Amino acid sequence: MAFLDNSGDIVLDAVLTDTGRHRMARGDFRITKFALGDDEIDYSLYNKNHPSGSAYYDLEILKTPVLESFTNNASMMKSKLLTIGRTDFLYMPQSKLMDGGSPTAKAAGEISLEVKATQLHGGFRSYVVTVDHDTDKLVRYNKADATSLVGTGIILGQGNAAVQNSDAFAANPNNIQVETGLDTTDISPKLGLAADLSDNQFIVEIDSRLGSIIAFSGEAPGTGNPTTLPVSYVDDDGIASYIISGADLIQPPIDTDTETEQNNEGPSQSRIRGPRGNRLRFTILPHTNLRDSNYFFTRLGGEFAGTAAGDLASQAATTAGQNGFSNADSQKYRFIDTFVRVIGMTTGYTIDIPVRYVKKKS
Amino acid sequence: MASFFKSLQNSDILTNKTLLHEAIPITGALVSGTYNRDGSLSAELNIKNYSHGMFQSVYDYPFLSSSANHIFDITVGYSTGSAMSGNNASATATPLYGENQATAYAVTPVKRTQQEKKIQIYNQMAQVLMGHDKDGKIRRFDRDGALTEVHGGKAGFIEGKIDEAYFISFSRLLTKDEIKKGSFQMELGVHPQWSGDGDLRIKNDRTIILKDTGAATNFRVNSPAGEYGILSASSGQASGSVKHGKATTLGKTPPAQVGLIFYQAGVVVLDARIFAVHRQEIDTESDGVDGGDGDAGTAVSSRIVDVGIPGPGGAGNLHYNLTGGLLNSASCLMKYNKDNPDFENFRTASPLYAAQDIYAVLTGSTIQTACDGLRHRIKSISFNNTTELNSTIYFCRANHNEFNYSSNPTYIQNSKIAVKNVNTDIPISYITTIGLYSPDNELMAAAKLSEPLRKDPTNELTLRVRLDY
Repeated sequence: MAFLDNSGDIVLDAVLTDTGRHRMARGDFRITKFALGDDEIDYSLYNKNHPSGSAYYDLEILKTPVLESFTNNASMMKSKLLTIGRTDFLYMPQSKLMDGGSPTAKAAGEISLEVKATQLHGGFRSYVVTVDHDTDKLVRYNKADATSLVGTGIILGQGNAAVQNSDAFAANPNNIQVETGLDTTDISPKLGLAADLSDNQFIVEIDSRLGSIIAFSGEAPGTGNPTTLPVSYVDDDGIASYIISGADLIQPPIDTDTETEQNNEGPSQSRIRGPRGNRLRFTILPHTNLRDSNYFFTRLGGEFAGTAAGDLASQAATTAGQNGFSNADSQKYRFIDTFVRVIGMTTGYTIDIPVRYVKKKS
Repeated sequence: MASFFKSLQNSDILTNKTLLHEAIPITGALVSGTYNRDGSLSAELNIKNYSHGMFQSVYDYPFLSSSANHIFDITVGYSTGSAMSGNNASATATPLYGENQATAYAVTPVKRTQQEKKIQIYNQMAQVLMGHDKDGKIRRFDRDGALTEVHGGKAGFIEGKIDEAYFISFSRLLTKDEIKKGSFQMELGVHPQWSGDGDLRIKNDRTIILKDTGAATNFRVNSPAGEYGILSASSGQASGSVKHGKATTLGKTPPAQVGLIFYQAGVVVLDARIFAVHRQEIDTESDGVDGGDGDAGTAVSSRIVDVGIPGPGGAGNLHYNLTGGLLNSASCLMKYNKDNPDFENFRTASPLYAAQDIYAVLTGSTIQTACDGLRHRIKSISFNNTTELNSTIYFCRANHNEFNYSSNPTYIQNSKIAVKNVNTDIPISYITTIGLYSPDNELMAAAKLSEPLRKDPTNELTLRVRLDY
């Protein structure tokens, strides 16, 4: 997309998105609301200390060139303008991936298993979701501690199998959590987050061809009868949107009852350093197509080699530099890198969570 | 409660219709000459001919290139009522041609090439553009759009129909929704010394100009294909190209009625007779009535065919006038098939028509060759097209207390609002995009501002987003 000519009058360049055209063809094209966006703006250019005075604070921002409209509905309006009735606050909530919790608490060894289970995969820097039993069996874990899968960033999509792996995980603890709140040390975390700034609902977007969002139950997503969530809508690119407000997914802050209690302070496990809002917790159920077919892996993904050495039965702890997948017989794995987008319904704050689907290459 | 959507009220949405016009100039050099391989007219790379041979397509670039745009198609046809078809021959199946009614001549049988296709083309175009009469028969194209058969001043002569026609169908890319009425103009080279292949660059000083003059307020609505206007002709770069100044005169092509232009269909129907020499006079003034062109009694050179069917009022057979063209020249050389036979008076073996005469071209040449003949005479075509824009305008109103914050990740630094120093500072945001959403929050349309627009509690904005369909 080119830039718009900004040398003359202000003009509007309007297009129908692909979804809009799809809806038009389907006969249910209807516009009932609008939002304003500022995708191109870098607010760090706002210079509150400009020597020439306040008229020059936003000089650089106003000179920002604006791109033409995209027609892909998913590529625009990623950051929206907000209507908040008050003007008297200085801080706004944001969303952060919990990713194993606060580094300070980690260093102090005060991370609970629940928080540790939210950690990203160390090597891939994403949440790794295995798509079938054959792949699950090749994930390394510590035999001495049946829960040592915690913190590896690997979500066993179908669950472990006791026979081949000689030991089964009692549970599949890893999951994804997003915290909200004011990430500042200027305000005490013991202060509550203003109700009108708190996210009580979230929109979660995921590529429906690859997986779906389910509530975390402590089990592997594919075991038993996972409770699927209703999809609000699927756009023309196959991106499914879930509007989540249930108590089983949205929970209060991780350490409200401990670290914020008077006379009971310890290093907070939360990555939000100030007042905390709600927390979104979920996991991903890989699509059956990924288990039974290599189609999307060959079209959208690539391959990597397992680096976890040794006999699976010996079960040494996964060491640094290893990716947690067995390298026995020079085993290769297929993968697809994608992301899950979480949007706070109140603040509009958006974060993209990296996800890698992995399958054993036969 | 914070929010980032604002509902549009009924008063925020307006629908209206706008007509948009573009000027479309088509130069003759583009239509023939520019893309000839090695300068040869036999290899025109932007002209696409088909194995079925029923029409010819003109592109603005060699058509094998993906950059080429289709401009228009040309084809030619005549009706079953035309003397060209031979269907109206006399009982002996031999059309009679003659100097006038009194002396009719038998002519040698005419070679008719692709006759079925030419008739098929005519009927197809007539069926679509003129429709059917009350008996379900296809209406022929009419010179003045009145749809009634006009019989000439002399008993037995039928006038008023276009039975032989060139059809120029413009691409929708050019015409869009319709051709703007009164804007069409076409200039054709009619110099008698035009080379057989037609070469605009050699003789371009004698031209005729065809226009739909006055059609903005005077057009016909009795076609099933929409509105149409009447084309008129006038001399172009040199005076005297058009001979006749009279209208609706027996046996003549009135310059005010040389074809039709169908605005919504984007089709021009050119009466092929405009390429014939004008009919000087058939009246010998024996009846004391001037034939109409003021030179009554002069030498005649008309060709009349007895069409072999009863004339109006039982006054003998209908006669069909083959001449009556516009051109002030003895010949109008067209690109033609070398095998076209001359029309000969078998008694004297003197040619009534040369092989390159328009009538010989229509019968003896293929559609492709006949189309080449017209195409090489096109000096220019121009018209304005019309696009009917149905617009919905959304007035997106941002009140003073709305849209003053942003969810942009750079808007906060360590959760602190980047545009504020203290909490009493006013919040500021900058608008670059307007998103229009469905009830289920799907982005239906998006509009971008050419530069960021500041929004804070001290101002209110109304952004007008127009979607055209």
